[in-house]
Amino acid sequence: MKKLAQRFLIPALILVVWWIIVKLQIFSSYLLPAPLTTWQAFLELCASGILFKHVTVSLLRVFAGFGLAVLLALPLGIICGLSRFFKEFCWSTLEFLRHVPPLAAIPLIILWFGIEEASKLVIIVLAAFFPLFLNTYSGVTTCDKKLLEVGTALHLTTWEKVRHIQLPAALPTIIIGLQLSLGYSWRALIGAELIAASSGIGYMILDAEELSRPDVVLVGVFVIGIIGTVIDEIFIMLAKRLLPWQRKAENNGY
Amino acid sequence: MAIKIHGLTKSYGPVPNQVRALQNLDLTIELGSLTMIVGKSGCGKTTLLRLLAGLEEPTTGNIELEGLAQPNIGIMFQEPRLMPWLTVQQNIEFAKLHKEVDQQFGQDTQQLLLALGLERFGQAYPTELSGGMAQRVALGRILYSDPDIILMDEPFSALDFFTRRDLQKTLRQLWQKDGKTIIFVTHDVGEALLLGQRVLIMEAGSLIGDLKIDLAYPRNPGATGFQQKREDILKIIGGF
Ligand SMILES: Nc1ncnc2c1ncn2[C@@H]1O[C@H](COP(=O)(O)OP(=O)(O)OP(=O)(O)O)[C@@H](O)[C@H]1O
Ligand SMILES: [Mg+2]
Repeated sequence: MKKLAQRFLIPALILVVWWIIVKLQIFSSYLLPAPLTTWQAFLELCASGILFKHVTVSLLRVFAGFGLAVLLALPLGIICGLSRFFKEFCWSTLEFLRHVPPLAAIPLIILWFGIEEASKLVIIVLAAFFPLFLNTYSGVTTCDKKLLEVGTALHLTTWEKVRHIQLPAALPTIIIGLQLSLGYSWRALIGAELIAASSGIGYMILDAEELSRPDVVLVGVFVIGIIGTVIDEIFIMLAKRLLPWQRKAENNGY
Repeated sequence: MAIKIHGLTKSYGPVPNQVRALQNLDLTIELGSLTMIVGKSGCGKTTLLRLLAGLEEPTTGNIELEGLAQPNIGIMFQEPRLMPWLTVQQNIEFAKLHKEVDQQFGQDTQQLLLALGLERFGQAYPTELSGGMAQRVALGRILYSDPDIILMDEPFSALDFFTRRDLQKTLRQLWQKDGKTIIFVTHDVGEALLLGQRVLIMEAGSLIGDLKIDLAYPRNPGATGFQQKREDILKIIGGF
């Protein structure tokens, strides 16, 4: 209970400050709608089903894009971590791609993949690939040599050592990579939808701007932040199930 | 029936400033014996065990395992080296993950947990264990694969006096019961005398002493025979 109060103290303060600023009429209501107006806009959007539609579209895109990124980054990170040859083979290409922000590639991506779903997926994959790839790679390569030696002494084969020592040892780092990737996916998608889309939360915000509905814009921003937080919380909950030894360690104050 | 080491040399590093960890070592160790190796830091004790365990290749010389068709050698390190993601029981059964041999491990994990005083901790994770308990699990992991030869590299040196005394007793009883070959490295002369049938003394990669300790178990560090042997070993190690 105390923790909950602690968490929501700052948001509550912001709400109060927001309300005071509106009351003092510092900005015109076209720039800063009142909290209550925003809340009513939210209820309206919920009632008409518009919000639900856009959120669903955005979420589906994120999960598809993130899933695709995982399918690419996880195996590639593991293989690069295990094989020097393969790493040298792909490193320079990946390094180049890593330094190109997906947003900079948007014009090309739209040109090649259109403004429909394909371009959104490409942007998410570009944004989500690297945090997961790099974390997986470093998780696999920084495995404690002393633990690997235990496997050698017990005559485990190379594959058995990978399967039973290197991968489990890399799991916590891989999970951090997944968490970062998921966050990046969500943010990149909203960016993409703000530039070219005909549905999704980002599109809803852009559309509202053109219709001079700052209250709807604010609803969109809040929904993005809240959904991002909820996705992260759910992810952490699931991740803890995968890392039972870390949960126990936390409980013991290690 | 013995481990026969002939002219064993191990050098580390590039040619001009090479470190010779072992120099032309000749040694025979009978199977079923409990042999202790003592010596100053850097004299090559760990290197010898790593060569015996097959974790390093000798520079020259060889190791012959006479009378063992398919020798199974287990090594216990100075640190427990447990897998943090596995429970105590899974750590003990780690050798089972090597598929080729899973049929031949007959050791019962519950019996092992009991023998090592870990029966209440089978489902615990390594982070929940004390240092002494973790080292017991490491010993259990070795015993599980039922090795013919057990190599131990200062396994108890990081433990407190009471835990160490307990584990020394456990180890001695296991050896007296199963008659395994144990080669145990320590820098503690008292520990060497408490456990060993034979104490080897190393210096700078060579063997400089080889004593037979024919005192009855359990040994009393206060007895005159014990004190006499301690004097003998310290005299050989020298530097006082
Ligand atoms: N991997 C290595 N690379 C280079 N030199 C090494 C390596 N391992 C050991 N040495 C050197 O070989 C010598 C013997 O080392 P070793 O670890 O066998 O000593 P030790 O008797 O076990 O010492 P301690 O009692 O401190 O554990 C030392 O001079 C050490 O510096
Ligand atoms: Mg050593």
